[in-house]
Amino acid sequence: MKRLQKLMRALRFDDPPASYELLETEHGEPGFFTGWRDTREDAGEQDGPIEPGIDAVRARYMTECSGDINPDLILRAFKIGPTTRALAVFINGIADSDAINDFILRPAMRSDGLPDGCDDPLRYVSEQLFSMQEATLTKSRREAKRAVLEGQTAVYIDGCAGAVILDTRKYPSRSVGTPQNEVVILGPHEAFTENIRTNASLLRRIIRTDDFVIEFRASGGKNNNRIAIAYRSGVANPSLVGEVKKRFASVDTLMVLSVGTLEQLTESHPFAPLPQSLSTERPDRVAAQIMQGRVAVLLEGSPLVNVMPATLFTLMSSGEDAYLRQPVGTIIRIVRYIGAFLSIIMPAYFLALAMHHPGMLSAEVLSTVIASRNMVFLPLGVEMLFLLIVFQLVREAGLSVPGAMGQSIGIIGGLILGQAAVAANIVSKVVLIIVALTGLGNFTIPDYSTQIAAAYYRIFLLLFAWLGGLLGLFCAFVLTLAYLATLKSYGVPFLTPMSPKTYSKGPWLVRGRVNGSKRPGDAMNTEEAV
Amino acid sequence: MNLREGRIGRQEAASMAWIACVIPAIFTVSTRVTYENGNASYAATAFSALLALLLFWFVTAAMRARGCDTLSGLYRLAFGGFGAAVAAALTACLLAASAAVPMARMLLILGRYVFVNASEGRIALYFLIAASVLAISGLETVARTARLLVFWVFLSFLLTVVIAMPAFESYRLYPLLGGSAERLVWQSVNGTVRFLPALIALSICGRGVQGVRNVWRGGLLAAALSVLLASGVQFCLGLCYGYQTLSDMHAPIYRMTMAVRTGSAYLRTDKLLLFFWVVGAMLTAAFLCYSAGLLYAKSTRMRDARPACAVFSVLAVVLALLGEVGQITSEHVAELFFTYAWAFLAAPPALAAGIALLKKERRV
Repeated sequence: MKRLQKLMRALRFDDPPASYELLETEHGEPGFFTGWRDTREDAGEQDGPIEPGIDAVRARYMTECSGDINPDLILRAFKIGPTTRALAVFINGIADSDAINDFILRPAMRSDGLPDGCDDPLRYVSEQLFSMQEATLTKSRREAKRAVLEGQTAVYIDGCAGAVILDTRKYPSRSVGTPQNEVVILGPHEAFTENIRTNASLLRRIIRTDDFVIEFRASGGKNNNRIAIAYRSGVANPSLVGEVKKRFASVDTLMVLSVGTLEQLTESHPFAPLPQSLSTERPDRVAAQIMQGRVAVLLEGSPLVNVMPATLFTLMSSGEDAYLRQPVGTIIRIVRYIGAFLSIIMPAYFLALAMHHPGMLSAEVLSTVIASRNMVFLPLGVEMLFLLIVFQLVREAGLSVPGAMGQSIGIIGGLILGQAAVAANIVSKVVLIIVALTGLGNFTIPDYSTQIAAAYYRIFLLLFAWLGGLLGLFCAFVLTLAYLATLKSYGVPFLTPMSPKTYSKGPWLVRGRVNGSKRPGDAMNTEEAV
Repeated sequence: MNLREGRIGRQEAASMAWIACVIPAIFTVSTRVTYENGNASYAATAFSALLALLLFWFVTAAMRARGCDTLSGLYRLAFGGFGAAVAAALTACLLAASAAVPMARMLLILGRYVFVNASEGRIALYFLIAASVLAISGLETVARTARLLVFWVFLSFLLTVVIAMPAFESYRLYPLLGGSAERLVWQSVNGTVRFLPALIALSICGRGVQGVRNVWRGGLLAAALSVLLASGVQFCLGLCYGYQTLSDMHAPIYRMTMAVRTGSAYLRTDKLLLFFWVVGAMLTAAFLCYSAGLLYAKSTRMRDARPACAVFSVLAVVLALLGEVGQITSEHVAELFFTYAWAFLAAPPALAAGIALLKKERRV
């Protein structure tokens, strides 16, 4: 029955698919944001009030968190003063043991106990006994347990149907290091780490405005990871912020380990080769985008931050662009775009000319190509395709192998293998040069995901050029452009500010003057007037 | 609703309409008819654009006066449900036929000068893929792609003129306004078929263009800029070849790229320029087929325009292919199309506008 309904839905043109409706809503206001999905609730966990007796609490933790075989879970019983029994629950390793010893256990054990006639012991201990910077009271069983699993400490007092949550989180993490993939010469040399709090503080250090908001939420994975949504309240378009929240709220998956997973779960075009959000490890880039009215999403455990919406020109901009002088920055950008364009189109264009339109080549070039291909047994199209695949192979091998060995693989693959292939008459020198230039051009694309996407388009154009010469190439090129023109990132057309044309001093072919960008570009439709 | 209208700006609308005006204006449906009145085709092109703009103004004024944001709304208002469907079907078919014209010329050029051994069917396949995918993708896609490529299409025509400059001779222009004034008038009237489809298509996409005001401004901008280029190119063609030679050519502008410096590096740009025009023809076809599909879908109250767009794209390519299969018949059909199609294209919108305005007066 369901299959029949699916078939009927596919055949019925009057009933548009839901995905299309989503795109339609991007033009206007997104639906009302009704709250974050509680993933554990979906898993069947029941919430309820905290038991008043600490024995019952202990028994529950022992059952639910497998306390008998789980030595990380610490259920530390102690007394506040001489008589009041209490229980501190935390996870060893992610909770700061020094803080627990010094600011929870020691003050509690050395105190005189609760004063006579104390109505609210939990409030008393949180306000007068525990000298922790962050303490909250809760009566929810689920909230307390989730806090414990995050590294906080829950303190239960016998006879009280509640708990004090004390922030004792201290995750093992590396210190702020230098960027590995987005190296610049002139800009700052610090990168995000796996610690979401450190990352948030790196952003706060750059954006010191009262409108800068970082909202912490559950990621939607069953692993209870946290995300943070950072934006400038009152500057970022509320529709955009609402759309981002709505999409991230709808995430419901087994695990969220990286921003890449989140990106795939929230983008409008999951099958598009190009990414629809910018992933970067540089705080200065993220801060610049947030100042422009974009929204950033940080994830616990991920050294990359996603910025949305992203356009092609955002993906093609580099961290160093802002630090270069205007003329130099513009020239470097133009070189980058030429490199990217050539890397995508050059193999297909050469193939089209050599196979279908040799008359367009001069006699000298043509004779060089013919001489170069003498004794090469592979057809030109196969040869080109083969070399492009080998190039990807060498690149992937170089990336997977660590450090200096990866560089060696690149040298072996690029030089020795290429030389050997020419000597063995498998490939011709001209084609090898074309593919080498293609590879070089590909590396001018700053974003890694965009580099990979360029490879897809290169192969697509190559196949069309192989089949139909320049007609095939131009046809495929128009289709590629049309596809890019169709893409949208959180409602913003992917080719903004070029098509549709908008006022912009943001990332575009010619870099704008630094003192000319006092306000965000109008593509983001920010609250600040342009 | 899945009408794929989206929202586009005035620049995108003007770019799209500009390409859809320029390509048919330069790659005319029949060179014999176009140049039968001497080398005055540049003047006829300008007058044709003026006449087309006049009708366009009348239609958009009626749309604005009666609060219709699209041509389908105007049809429904003027003709009622069934009449609107009939008028829409006629206009849509003529738009598809107009989309076929530049494609047929490109098929002819490609078949004769580039892919000599390939069958027209195989060449047409690429047009079918591009036109149908773009048309189905919708207005936003077509318009944004046009906005990206408009400069390059313009540059390709400009380069052609620059390359051919050494071959220009002013004596070839005489007689300056053709042999007879009457013929010039009729040629101008017939020639509106080159500009009308794009302008009518723009008025069909009124909602996507965000209002009749933007439709009018976009159309005006497109027609004004396209007539500058198209008339200029026709003028240059007149400088390069005598009208009798032009009448016998199938693709004068393509020949013009090869008019000078044979054997030099310039010779090799001809095919490259040709493929930019091919892209222009693909975009023109996509825009007209999408508009045809949208008009049909709206008039028949279909909620999805994509099937209609696909059908009109196939129809346009089939019509373009038919023109290439039987050369003698196709020339005759092309001449008939050039002579009479303007009337069938102009009549439904003009009638609808007139009736709509009259209805308003009666109410007042």
